Amino acid sequence: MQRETLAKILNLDRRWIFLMVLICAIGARFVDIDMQIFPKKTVKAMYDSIEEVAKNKGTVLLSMDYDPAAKPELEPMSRAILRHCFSKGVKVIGMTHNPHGQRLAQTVLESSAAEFDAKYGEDFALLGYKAGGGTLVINMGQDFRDAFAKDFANTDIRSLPVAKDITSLTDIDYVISVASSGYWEAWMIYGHDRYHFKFGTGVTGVIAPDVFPFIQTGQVTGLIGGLAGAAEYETLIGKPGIATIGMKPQSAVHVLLVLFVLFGNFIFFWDMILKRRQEKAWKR
Amino acid sequence: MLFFKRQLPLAIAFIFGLIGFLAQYIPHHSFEAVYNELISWVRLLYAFALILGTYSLLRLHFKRIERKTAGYGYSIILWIGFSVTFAIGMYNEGDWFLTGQSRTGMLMWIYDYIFKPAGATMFSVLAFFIASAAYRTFRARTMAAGMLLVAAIIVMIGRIPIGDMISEHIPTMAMWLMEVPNAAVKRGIFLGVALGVVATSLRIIFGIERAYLGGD
Repeated sequence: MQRETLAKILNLDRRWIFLMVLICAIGARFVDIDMQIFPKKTVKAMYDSIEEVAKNKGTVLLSMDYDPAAKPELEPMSRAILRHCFSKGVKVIGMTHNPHGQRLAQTVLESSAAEFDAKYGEDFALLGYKAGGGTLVINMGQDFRDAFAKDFANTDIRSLPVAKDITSLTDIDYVISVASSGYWEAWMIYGHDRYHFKFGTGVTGVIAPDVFPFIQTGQVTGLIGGLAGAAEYETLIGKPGIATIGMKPQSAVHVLLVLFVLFGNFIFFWDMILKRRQEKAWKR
Repeated sequence: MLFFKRQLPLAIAFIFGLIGFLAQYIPHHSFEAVYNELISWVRLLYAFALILGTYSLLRLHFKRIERKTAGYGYSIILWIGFSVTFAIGMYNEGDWFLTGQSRTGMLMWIYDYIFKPAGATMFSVLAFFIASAAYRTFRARTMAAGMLLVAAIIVMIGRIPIGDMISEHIPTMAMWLMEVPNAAVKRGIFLGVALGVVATSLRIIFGIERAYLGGD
């Protein structure tokens, strides 16, 4: 094959690549393969932490710190965690640090609660959004009711049985931040390290590598990374959902990406060999 | 007035920076009370930053429309989008802005049927661009690039169920890569960043770093 042909292959119009990704993602949905999902230990750690909270019928604070852009990847995590909590009678307090996240948090919280007949105020509550990030976390640790005097619907939180005994973050049994940006860090630095509550996080696949050093130090107990992590959590609770369905297209596209990388490198090295041969021929 | 532009902001940065710093090391209730108060102030400042950010964004796009710079049509769309959403939000289904935001109606319709799908679309388009970039630019030109390529392939395959189907060792290797080399490097980066933050904070507190004061 000539070098010109190889150059043409390397400079393939990217629309063909886009088309292949599209076909792969859609086509994978119709392939009948039984994909076994094996939960990783970091995901299992979050599951075990909630099981522990369930033994004492305790409270979990779920901070859904993401916006619509990250919804496809992170909402399945929130839903799986909420299903786990509600199925075991764990009380849930929801909130968000993201100004665009309140509606998402409300939707997933209410729809998951409806599956288990959980009642607003008794079994769960939604605090809503407040500005502040790390400073809000410190404020919640100092005086929970000062930080959130009212819930998202303007109800006094002291009138909600689910929050009546919460005066500080230290009264929460497990705090989870499902985040698409650095909010999980704010929870860890200004929350866990200051008030020493148990903390876990669910993040996008891109952010997950950042969390690993803090799992080793014990600052983070439980990590769900990306859609694959959400699928692992769904497997643990025995209720396959949208993340499990998404594993086929994701696996297919990952494999396609690997093939692209390998093929691109194969052509690259072939071109390099031809180039060296040409150079030798010219020298002669 | 140089005092308001220079001396006063520097004095505020010095006093409040020092209080914030000392509050971490002096476990006295009076310091704690001052620190708690400051934290509440910071939250208020965040809310003001939101207003300032909105003003700044609208001003920038207004200037683009005024000067008819390339792509000013997008600025018109931004202004229309902002004005319509703002007006509907303020109207609040007839309850106006003094009561809590309505949970149904036009604003929620805009969120559910414009903002949510548009946001999700932007993020999902990334997959296509990553595929294109992987094919065109991810080359093992050097030994280091080759190692990165092998590690990337292991992690990409090891993170999905198909990795388990191929071999149980692939997810184990992917996990090892995340837990050992990745964690070690991340830890080094985080320490470096933290030291940089400490140094910059001290420079701001002591008035050496003055870029935040702006020009003039």
